[in-house]
Amino acid sequence: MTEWTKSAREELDRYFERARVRLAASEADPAEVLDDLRRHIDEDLVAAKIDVVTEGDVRRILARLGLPEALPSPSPAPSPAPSRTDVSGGTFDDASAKAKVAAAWARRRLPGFFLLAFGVLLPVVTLAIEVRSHFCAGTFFDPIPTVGHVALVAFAPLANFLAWLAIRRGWSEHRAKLGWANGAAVGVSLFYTLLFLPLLPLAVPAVICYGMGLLPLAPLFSFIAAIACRRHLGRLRTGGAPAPLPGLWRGMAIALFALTAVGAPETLTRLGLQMAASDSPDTSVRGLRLLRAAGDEGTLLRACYVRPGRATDLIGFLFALSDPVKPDEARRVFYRVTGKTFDAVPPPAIAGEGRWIAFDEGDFDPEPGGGIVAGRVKGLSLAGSRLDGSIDADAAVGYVEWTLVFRNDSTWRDAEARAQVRLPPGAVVSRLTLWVQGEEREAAFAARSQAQEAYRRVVQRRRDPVLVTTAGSDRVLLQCFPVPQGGGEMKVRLGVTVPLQFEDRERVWLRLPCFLDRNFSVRGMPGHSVWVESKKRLQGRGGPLQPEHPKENVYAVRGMLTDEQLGGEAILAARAGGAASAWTADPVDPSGPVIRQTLEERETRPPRRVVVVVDGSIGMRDVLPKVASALTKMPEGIEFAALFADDEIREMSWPVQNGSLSIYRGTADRLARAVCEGGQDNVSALVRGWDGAAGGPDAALVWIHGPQPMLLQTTDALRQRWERRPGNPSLYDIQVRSGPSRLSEKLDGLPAVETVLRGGDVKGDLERLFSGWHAASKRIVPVRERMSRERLGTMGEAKETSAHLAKLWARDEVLTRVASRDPAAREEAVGIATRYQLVTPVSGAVVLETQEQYQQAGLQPVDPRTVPTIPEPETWMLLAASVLVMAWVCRRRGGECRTS
Amino acid sequence: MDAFDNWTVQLRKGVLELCILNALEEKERYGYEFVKTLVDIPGLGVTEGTLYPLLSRLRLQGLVLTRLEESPEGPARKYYSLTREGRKAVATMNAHLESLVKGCRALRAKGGKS
Repeated sequence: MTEWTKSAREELDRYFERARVRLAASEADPAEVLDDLRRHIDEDLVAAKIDVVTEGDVRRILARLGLPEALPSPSPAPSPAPSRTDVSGGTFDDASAKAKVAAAWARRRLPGFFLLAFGVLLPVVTLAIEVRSHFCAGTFFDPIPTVGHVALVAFAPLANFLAWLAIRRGWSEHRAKLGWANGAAVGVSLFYTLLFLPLLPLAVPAVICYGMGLLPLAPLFSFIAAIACRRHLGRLRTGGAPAPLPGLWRGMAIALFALTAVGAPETLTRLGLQMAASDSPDTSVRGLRLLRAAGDEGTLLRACYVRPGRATDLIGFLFALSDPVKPDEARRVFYRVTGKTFDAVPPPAIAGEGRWIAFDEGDFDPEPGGGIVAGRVKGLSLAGSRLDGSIDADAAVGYVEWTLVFRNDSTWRDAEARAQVRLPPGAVVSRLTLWVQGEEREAAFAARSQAQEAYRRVVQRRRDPVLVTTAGSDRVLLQCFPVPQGGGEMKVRLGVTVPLQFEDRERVWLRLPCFLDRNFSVRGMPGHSVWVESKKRLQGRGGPLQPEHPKENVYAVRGMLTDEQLGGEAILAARAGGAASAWTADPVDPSGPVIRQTLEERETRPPRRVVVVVDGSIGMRDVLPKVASALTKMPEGIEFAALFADDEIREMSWPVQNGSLSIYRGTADRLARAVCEGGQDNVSALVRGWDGAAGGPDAALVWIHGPQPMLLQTTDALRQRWERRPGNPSLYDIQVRSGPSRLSEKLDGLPAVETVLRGGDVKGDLERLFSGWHAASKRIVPVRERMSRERLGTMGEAKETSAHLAKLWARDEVLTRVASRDPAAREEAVGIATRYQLVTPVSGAVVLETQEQYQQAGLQPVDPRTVPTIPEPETWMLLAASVLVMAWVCRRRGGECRTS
Repeated sequence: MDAFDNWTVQLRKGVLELCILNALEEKERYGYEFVKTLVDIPGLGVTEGTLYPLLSRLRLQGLVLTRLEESPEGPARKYYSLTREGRKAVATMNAHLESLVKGCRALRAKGGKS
């Protein structure tokens, strides 16, 4: 490979310039002659074995060559006005003029500024603008969805530029390579010209009228320039008429192949999406598997938005043209494939209406006043959180007040804070407070629909309401609006009455409420400040909560918990093993009946038949081995079956058969090997599981699942089964990690749902559940009933406790009436829930801003004097002491004991 | 330039084309070697700078055909050959030249005798 020094090239260029001028007046083709001379020089260099060509080498060769002479044709036509002839037969008078004209013409035949401008600069600038602004993507479609597309589009002007340079400089040695590059450039620019063809009719008037719109024209200009470059390249060697240049068709084929290759993920994704959205189950499953294996998540995500920014894969586009997949369906597919809802991930840079959407959390809230949490709202955060609790271990009753402060740093709109809160098992929300200008406002408790309607009306007027309603078993939805923009804050308090869970007679557990789902961030918040007191010894699970004993008969645990820790934390309280009964005055009728609770030890009545349904979603991946392992703790002799909710329902153990250790182990092995992927539809598996379990009495359906943020099908068939046959089978709803469960929300109010004591570890929880079904096991069950004071006096010693015991009784009464499906009973349930200020499946709590708003909604806020509070441990001591004193007085008087 | 030089220039101009066409009539020739050969002919007094424009003109006139062949040893090789028109032209030119030379020689013989 010969190398030329810069001075050698310059010398040659100067020779060629002089030669070109002389040849301009000749009858020869200047380009061809120069090309021949160039080749001759190259041959001389090869013959002389010169590797590095210097200026001196060039001069020697050129001296031998001499400047080209324009010898006239043997039979020339007479020249118009020859005056003198030179020795070469030319004329002197018009020679210089002709030479100038011919030289100009020779220069004109070389590609000039216009080719450079329209074939190189314009496409490059257009590409840069589109990369930076995504204007076309946001308005029409995305022509450069991937880095590969950007590279291919950039290749066309690059190839044009190299061709332009080579033609101007006469670099004929690169002719072949440039021919191939040009072929590819022709292919790419032709492809994009066709892509922008529908926009060309708009582009021309836009350029004329508005001076803008060159974007759709850029590929066309690039294509024309590539063709022009090709003609010039063809003359680079042979001069005169264009000669065949290699690489046109094959270069175009390579370009098309490259475009197909970079668009392959998108093409496959579109095809997979079409298949997954098919009505045919088999096709749908194949589509889902294709998407999981080879789909592009970005393309799938874009399909979830109104304007997907359809890009350049024509194959996929043609498929979609006949039967486009709507965004709603695409969102379902996205969830099935990834296990995440589309709004749980940052939206694509271009989505919807051509607007920019922040790459981080959403700028807009699609669900203001709605019934689901939806995705994160940008700027909305939890600024403060404290949980204050009190435990009466002997009465097995606790009360926790969760005070939350929301903050909105958005600068352009108010926001609604929404959260789904998981309550401790069997707990009930019994207080709701909103601070308005520093003053506490208590909620009104009303029928669920009445409370919701009052909230929505006030939200639309952008005033200050708060709403709490149930959202499934042991779940509530909290909605607060507006959290003012510009750093504004909103403070609410949720009061939760909790029945403590029995470890045994001497120990009870208090689980803390936690977030299952939220539309605000918790970043930047130091943590949830927890402080729980009791007059009996307390201890945490061994985490950040530290026990304290600040004074006699006062015990506490306190500390800061992260959001994750809050979900797994529980507080153990010691209790007097002999304390079996407790009572409280009815807060609705303080001088009237009382509520008495008795702890009964009952033999566990194990289910006769158990069907286990395991969710196959990706959220189960880490815990599936633990679930499988726990199955071996199932008692033998129980009729058993197990299903795995995959893309299709897979029978881990089917049909129902008498369970044995070998069956459980076999099921566990199969389960452990199962693959969890995407988001799975559990409804069909639950329906099938219900049908399997309901074959006899005393059945249980154990549903072990991850978050279910999207409902893939209606739950009517499932609810119908339980509504027509309430209570059997029982449903044990075990969610393995925090997150929303739309399916659980839809099962809200069903009496079949059983509470599962959760200790934070799913394996331990399942083993405890299954072990509890062994025939010999017993459990402690609190039994609450309302009775007259007279009857209370005849029933033996009972410890007086707080009014929270009455609220737990009222909750039980509400749920019993709701389960009966009798409209009259339902009305009674609403009445009970309202009087006792409870949030239940038939009632909600709403705080409005003004009395006028309450009146308009037909609501009455609770009297602040009647709201539950956190009883101090000393208060219970006083209460206990007062009972003893009253009892002594009664004995002295010898009459019936009256407590007031 | 003296009269002789002027006459040689005129003569060269006239016969050079015929020389090229005659050389190509026999067979197709590799351009580089062909030009070298022509340059080395004593009396022809041409340079490569003169020959290439002439060859280009002959091609444009349709008398000569060119083709390129890739070479592993250097730049692509250009080959020249006559077209059918070129063969006709060279035959005509040769016949004319022969007639002219014959006439000149006849004049010289008669002149020497007188």
